[in-house]
Amino acid sequence: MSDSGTPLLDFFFAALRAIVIFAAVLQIVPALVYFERRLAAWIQDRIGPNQVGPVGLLQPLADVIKLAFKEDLTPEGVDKWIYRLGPALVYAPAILAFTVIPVGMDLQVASFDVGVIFLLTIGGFSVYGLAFGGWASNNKYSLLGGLRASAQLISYEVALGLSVIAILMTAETVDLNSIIRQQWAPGAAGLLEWNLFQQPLAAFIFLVAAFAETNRLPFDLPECEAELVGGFHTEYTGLKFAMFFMGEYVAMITMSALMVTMFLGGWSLPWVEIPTSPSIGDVALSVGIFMGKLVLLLFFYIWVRWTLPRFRYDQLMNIGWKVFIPLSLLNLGLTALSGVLGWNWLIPLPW
Amino acid sequence: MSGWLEHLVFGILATVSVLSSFLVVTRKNPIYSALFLVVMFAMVAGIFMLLDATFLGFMQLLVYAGAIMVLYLFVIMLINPRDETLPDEGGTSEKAFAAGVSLLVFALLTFGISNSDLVTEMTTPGGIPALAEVPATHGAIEAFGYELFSKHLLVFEVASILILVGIIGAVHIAMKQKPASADEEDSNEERLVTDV
Repeated sequence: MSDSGTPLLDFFFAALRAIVIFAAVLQIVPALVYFERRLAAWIQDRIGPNQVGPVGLLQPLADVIKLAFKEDLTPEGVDKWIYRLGPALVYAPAILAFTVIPVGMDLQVASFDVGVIFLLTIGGFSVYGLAFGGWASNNKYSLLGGLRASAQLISYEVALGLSVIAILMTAETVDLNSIIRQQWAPGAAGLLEWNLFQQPLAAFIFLVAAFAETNRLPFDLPECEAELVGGFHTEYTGLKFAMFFMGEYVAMITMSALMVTMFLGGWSLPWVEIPTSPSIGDVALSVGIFMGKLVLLLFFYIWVRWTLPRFRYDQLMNIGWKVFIPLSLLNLGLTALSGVLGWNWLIPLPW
Repeated sequence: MSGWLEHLVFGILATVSVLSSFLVVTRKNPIYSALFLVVMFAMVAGIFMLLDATFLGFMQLLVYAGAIMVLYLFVIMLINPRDETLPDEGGTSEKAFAAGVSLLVFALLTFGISNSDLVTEMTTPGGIPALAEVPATHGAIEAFGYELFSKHLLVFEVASILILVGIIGAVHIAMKQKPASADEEDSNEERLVTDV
């Protein structure tokens, strides 16, 4: 967290942070898959995986072993280099983007002075993986999936970026830890300081755009099985498929973490003081708070997935360009205006 | 960053960017050209960051590599070129001509840069006065924004108007081809290519 003065020790701590945080994020993925399958079963009034281990808890392990031992097929006629590059290009940006997320009090893998912009930039690169994977597979369904992915991600990235800019304007910084500190106020009324309530429109746009960016239902058009078999990953097997799959879940975790940080107060809670020189206990508590919020948001993701039906592709593009981008521009304009005039544009609310 | 490390990083970034630019023009398949162009943008962004222009570097990545190239790729994928369907490009004479032109441009630039007053000033000892200490905010968003909206405001606004003209023109062209009741998905895709 802080500089110790000796470069070697700093390097050691930086490496330790990177390993621990990245490993933790990767460990959430199998847990999330299990969680999602059980919840889906519960929502659909089924039982779900309950045979492997106590209440099916070892199911993710069994899935991983199965994927690792599957034959690694490379179909004929694929472009070998780009075919292999695809899954890596989905997975690597997703995990790299997590670098700047503060998982606890000033605790992140690396802190840049451009925090959020780094995340959006690197996170956006995963579109290349989807597009390249879809194109290289030499399969028309894969190609359509890749095309849909690139069009969809580009469209919703605009709305996502504009909603983030509105937050950066009110916060007057791009440092995520400062954004979190600004959302803190003591007592239950401190909840209203969260950007979710300060910038409700931006929060809504961000949430919807995040669903589209991570290809989750109701916006999972690049891989919708009813039309495109498996979309961009139709021709992938074994661990290459697993990398696509992991990349998607890591992207979902990263987006949720960004949402928690930007709109839900990050690692802070109004009832917990932020000390100026935190002890290990304070940091652990802040990590716990962050994880709690993250799990709630991930639950929301899964809940939506198994509740809403899929949009049609033209509907997706229409609401993206004709509703969300104008809305986010309107929000940006109102935020700028209220910044100049010094009042909150939600006039009836007294803050 | 210490001196030799900076040189090493610059050397790697510069070499890879030159190599990938070369591959952009020599690859037969446009998908590979696009891929290497992205690599080149990333390397140039790295050089920006090496010069402490972190924000500019990330903007280079976000706008060129993250948005514009995705649209290029989108168009290339719509055409869906496969190696067997691509025509053979250029004979020996055409390649020699292209190499000649490139060498000429390279020679002109090298000559121009190495003979410019600025370089002469910088390479003679004591030619330029020692700089005051570079502020910590150098290259950060705040400094960048102040510079853009004070010194270069006019250029910035003119560029915005230029982009606006481009958008309106593109929308107009797209509208003419597709009357109100036309196929929605097509017009969406066109607007997508033009808007960003």
